[in-house]
Amino acid sequence: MEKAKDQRPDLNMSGVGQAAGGLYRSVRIDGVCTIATDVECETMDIHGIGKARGNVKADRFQCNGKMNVDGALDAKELRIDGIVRVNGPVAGERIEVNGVLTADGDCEAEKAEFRGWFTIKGLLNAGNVDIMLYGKCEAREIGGETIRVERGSSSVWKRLWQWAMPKLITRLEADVIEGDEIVLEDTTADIVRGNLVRIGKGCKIGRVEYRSDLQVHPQAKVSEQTQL
Amino acid sequence: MSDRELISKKDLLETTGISYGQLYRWKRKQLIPEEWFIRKSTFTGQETFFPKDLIMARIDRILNMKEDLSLDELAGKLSPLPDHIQLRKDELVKRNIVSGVLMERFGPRDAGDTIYSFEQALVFYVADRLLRNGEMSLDEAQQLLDTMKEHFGKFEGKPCELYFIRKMGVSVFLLASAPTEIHVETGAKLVARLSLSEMIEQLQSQLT
Repeated sequence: MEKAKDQRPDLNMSGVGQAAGGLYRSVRIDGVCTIATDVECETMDIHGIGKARGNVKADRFQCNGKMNVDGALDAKELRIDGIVRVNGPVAGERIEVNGVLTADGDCEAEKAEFRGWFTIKGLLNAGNVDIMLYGKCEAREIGGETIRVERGSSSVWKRLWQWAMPKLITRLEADVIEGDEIVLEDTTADIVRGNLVRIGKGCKIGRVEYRSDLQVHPQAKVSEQTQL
Repeated sequence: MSDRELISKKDLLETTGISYGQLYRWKRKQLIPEEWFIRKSTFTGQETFFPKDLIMARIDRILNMKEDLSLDELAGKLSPLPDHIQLRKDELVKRNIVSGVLMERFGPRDAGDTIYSFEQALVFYVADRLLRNGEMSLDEAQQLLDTMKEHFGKFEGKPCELYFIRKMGVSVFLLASAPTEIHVETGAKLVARLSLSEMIEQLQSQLT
């Protein structure tokens, strides 16, 4: 496994094909391609439709198309401008999603920015969580130091289509949100726990537990609030 | 796992004075293992609980070591097998970590000042635990010691569990990586199931 880094080959695929996994320096997919086993590389660029049957580990991962990962996705820098589905956990230092992310496991990062839609079936755990809502965002649990949720722009057309396409509803849904500093907008949550909590416009929160300060917008609904 | 004392996340933060952010960061850095997060539903909804003795000891260690080490260095320090710990044989007996009976049986040739590695001590500790519970006989202890000696190192510190199965008086020891699910045939009895990571923690907390 300890191959010198410059000896690693590149993997470039255009068209339709399949490749074995392994150690690479850079992986680039321009067509419809499948990687059959675990893959580890420095950079991975997906411009078409990619599928990885195993785990993916990369220093930099970028997806401009569509990608399916059957195992875990682990990248120091992860940027998604397309659609990525991961059947396992997602881990990274910096995660930037401008498209759609679906993860069946947990999602961990030092810094996570979302501008789009996401579904995380486990825990979203990041030092800084920044969410701009452009569609339906779901996570079972969100935890971190600072958590910010803001409403992105929503056009008239989009609002018109919402009745037909529930994915277009710009809303964050979570069971539990826990952090030191929490700023929320358009969020539905059962429990929010934190030190400094600001509940903004359009929130529906079952229960807020806060330590030092809580502000609730007049257009938000909080059923129960307790100071610890 | 089920009969031990649990502490809720809220109470934990209150008693230790740490924040949610810290707890989540430590979890990300793998300073607190995933298995300790026990999710349960209570009347207020989902709550997370921790095994109290383990988590309190761990947080204490993190807070004490944090001053002069970065979190990443800390993660290395909290590696599952603390190699730097060595134990003298008479120490083990004196501090009641391993009973005298077991020592007499399996370490009679070693002098009182023989030094055991942590791994060896762990093997004795596990055997002693099963013996004290009355689940295992001394002869089976020999079997356990051999199994652990031969196979435990192969896990290289990954979490694993020990299964002790008996059928018609024949006993079998099994080491499996955790978390795993096993089913035994009818007629066979799963006598004991021990998480070795937990045993390591317990032994460690007894030593410090």
